[in-house]
Amino acid sequence: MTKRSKGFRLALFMLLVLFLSVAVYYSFALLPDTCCDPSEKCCCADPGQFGPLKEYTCACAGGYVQWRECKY
Amino acid sequence: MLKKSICACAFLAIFQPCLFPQHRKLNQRHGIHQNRIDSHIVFADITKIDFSKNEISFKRITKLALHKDRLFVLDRRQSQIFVFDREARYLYSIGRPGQGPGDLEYPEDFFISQNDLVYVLNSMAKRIEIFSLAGEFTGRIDLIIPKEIPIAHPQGFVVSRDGFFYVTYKLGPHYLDVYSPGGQFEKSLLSRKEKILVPGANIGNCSQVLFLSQDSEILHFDHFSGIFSVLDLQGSLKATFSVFNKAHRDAMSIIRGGVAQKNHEKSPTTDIETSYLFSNVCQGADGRLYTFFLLNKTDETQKLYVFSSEGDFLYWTSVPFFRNKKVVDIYRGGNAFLFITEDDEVYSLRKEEE
Repeated sequence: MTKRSKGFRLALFMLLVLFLSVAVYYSFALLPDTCCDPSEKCCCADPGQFGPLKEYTCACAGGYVQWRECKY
Repeated sequence: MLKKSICACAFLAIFQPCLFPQHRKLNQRHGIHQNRIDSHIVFADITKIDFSKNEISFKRITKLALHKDRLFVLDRRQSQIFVFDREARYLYSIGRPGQGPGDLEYPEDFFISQNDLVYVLNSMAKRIEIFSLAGEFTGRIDLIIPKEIPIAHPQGFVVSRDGFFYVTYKLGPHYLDVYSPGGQFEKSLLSRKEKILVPGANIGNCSQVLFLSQDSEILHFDHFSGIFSVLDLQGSLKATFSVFNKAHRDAMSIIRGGVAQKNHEKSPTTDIETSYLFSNVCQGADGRLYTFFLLNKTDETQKLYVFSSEGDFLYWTSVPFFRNKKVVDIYRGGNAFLFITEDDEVYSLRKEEE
C-alpha cells in the first residue's frame, strides 16, 4: 500500500469519526430531557442571569419534559 | 364609494386620538414630582410580622391579602392558603395538596370577592376552586381555554362583581382574557406581540392583573418589560405607560439574547423563562401605583417607582430600612403596605402622616 493511499484511508477514517461524533452529539442534544422529579431543580439554570431561581414547574408527558417554567 | 371610504379612513386616522382617547406614555425619563421631596412617600411604623410563634414555616410566599382583619398567605409550594389574625396568630388553612375537589395543585393566585368567597387558581389543572372565607369548599369551575392556546396555563386572575374571570397566563398569545362565570372563554382583551415557539425557548408572559378605580378598570402589569396597560372591563385600552431605566433595558436585552441563543440550539422542550425585573404592583390608598425595581447594585438601595393612576411617572424613592434586604413583592393591607423580602420575611409599613 502506498503512502498516499494510507494517508487517504486515514483521512477517510477521521472524517467518519468526526461525522459519527457530530451525529451522536446531535441525537443526544435533540432528545427531550427525561422527566425530573418536581422536587428536584427541574433542570432550570440556578441562578439565572439576573437572580436566583425562585420557582419552577415541569409538566411531564410520556416520561419527558413537555414544558418547563423557570422563574427568576 | 371608494372616495368616501378613503375620507372616512383619513378622518379616523387624524381624529383617532380624540375619538378614542388612549394615553401612551412609555419610557418616561423624569418623574414630574422627582424634585418635590415633600410629596414623596415616607414610611413609618415598620414592623416585622412574626409568624414564628406558629408551627408553620413558609416555603415560598406566593401572595398576600388582608381581608376583614385576617391575613391570607398563599404558599404555592405547600398548596395551601394559611390564614392568620392581625397579631399573626395562625387560625386555619384553606385547601390542601391534591387533585380532588377542594384540593390544590400548583395554586398560583387567589382572589377574595366582596361577598367573602375565596377563589383559588389551580394552574396546572386550569381550574378555579371556590371556598368560603372559613375555608369550606363550595365548588369548582373549569376554565375552558381555547384549543389554539394549548400551552396557556393560567398565572393570575381577578373576579369581577358579576362573576367574570379576567385571566393571565404563564405563556400564551394572549396576555389577558375574560371567561364567563361558568368558565367559558368570552374574549381576549390584550394580546402578546412577541412570537411563541413550541417547542422552543420563550420569555414568559410575566403578567399581573388587578382592579383599579373601584373595580371599573383593569390593570395589566408586565414584570419583565415594566409596561402597565389600563383597560376598561369591555377591553378598551385606556393607557399604556412605563418608566425608563438603563439597567432594566440592558437586562431585557441580555435575557432576550440568551433566549435567542437557546432557540439557535433548537431545544426539543418548550421552555418558559420568567424573569421578574420589577416586583408586583400595588395601588395605595392614595390611588398611586407602587412597584420596586429588582435589579439594584449591591451598594445601592432599591428604587421604588411611583405612578399616578393615569400613568404619569411621579418619582422614584427608596426605603432606607431595606438597605440590606431585597423587597420582592409589595401589597396593600388596609392603610398599610406589606412588603415581602427575598427571605420570605413580611414587613408592615405605614405611610407617615403629613
